[in-house]
Amino acid sequence: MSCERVTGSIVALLDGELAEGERRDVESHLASCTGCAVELRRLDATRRIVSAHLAAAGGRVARPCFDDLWERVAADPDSGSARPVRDVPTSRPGTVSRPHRGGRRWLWAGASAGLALAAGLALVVLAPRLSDPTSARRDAKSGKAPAAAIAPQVVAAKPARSGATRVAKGAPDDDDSAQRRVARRTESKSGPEAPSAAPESPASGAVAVNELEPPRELLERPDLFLNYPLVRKLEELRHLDAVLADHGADDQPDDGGAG
Amino acid sequence: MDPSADPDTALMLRVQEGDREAFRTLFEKHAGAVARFAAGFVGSAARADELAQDVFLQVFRTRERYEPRAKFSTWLYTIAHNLCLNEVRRHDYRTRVDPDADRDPDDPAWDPTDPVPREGESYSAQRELEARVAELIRELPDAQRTALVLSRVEELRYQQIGEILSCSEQAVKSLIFRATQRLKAGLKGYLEDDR
Repeated sequence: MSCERVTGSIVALLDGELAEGERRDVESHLASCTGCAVELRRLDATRRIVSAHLAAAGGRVARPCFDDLWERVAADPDSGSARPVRDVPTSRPGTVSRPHRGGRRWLWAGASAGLALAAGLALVVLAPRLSDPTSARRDAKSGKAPAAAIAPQVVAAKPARSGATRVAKGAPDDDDSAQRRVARRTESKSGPEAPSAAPESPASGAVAVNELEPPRELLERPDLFLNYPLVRKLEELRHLDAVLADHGADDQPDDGGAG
Repeated sequence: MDPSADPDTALMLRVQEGDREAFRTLFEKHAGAVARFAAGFVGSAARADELAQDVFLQVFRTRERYEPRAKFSTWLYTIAHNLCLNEVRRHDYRTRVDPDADRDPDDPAWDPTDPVPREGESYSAQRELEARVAELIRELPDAQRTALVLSRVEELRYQQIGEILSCSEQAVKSLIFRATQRLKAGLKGYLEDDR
């Protein structure tokens, strides 16, 4: 057996990967060849240094956590995690298992659709009164469908999404921002020459907020809007005006709201 | 080994059906080894944990394409190898020459007598040796590095490494020998016989 062939087999010999016959030949050669014996010692030392280095590097690795992985799986669109998975609640003891995001998406989609439907329906019925109560009454008498009753449906379809998004996030509006939106709405109704600070003055602001402020339960729990007896209490839905103003304000720069 | 006799194969088939507990069992059994492999391959313990998660995320993504033709761990390390290759190609790990970059100073694994205790060897000399070894491993060709790390870290057999790298056992023997030869040459001056 040549020195070159023996040298090429030394690491495999140390790894225990040589077949019995080859191992005997290599060992026999090493016992009689000083040069190959030196090479054996050097390769063995190198092998031990590398193994120790890699073992130390591996020892510094943090233990991977399954729950972290599962969060990534649940959030990963390529994992198909929205499919039913057996034995879902396997969180650590003492922790609360969270619903799948896919399920949440359906919940919010339902909420969005419900809100859009409610806003559209309310607009169909209320738009004439909100935009021009006298013309609405006039149209009702003549039996002619008011133009404003149709047009806002198209407009309302787009803002409804932004309103639904706000609901989906579950972020209740604070009173100040609600008042500011109502104030913008009031300002736009009263004309461009009205001072912008007027709604915040105690006198005029109090009236506007009292008349148009959304119900407190809507501010605190926007999701309750879906359960609000909308059709039955259409006449009392003054807060719809504020909702519409809010939608308009979301989609347009501060130009006076949905108008 | 007959893949059907591999208990991990049975677990993976359950994962295909959406069994999360089977997935957890596989993860807890193999994630540590995959992370150690990743640490050895990319030279960063800090990144290894995330890479191990990436590997198992990929396992879950591709679970429906899994076929029990080989041991589960062979398939797993094939994924790990590919992801680690992508990782080192995306990021320049050559700048990480400090082996203590992500080392906990209180970590007992950071032992001045490790890896090869020598009489009178200084702490800094040991760190220098570690940095040199890390650098040399990083500079190995991909296949040599993979074969070497799989062999040294998890002590996989040449046959299984060949399955992971899609090459023969003889080729693996050659890869590991050449890797060790390169490291030996790079460590000239550190080895006992060179002093």
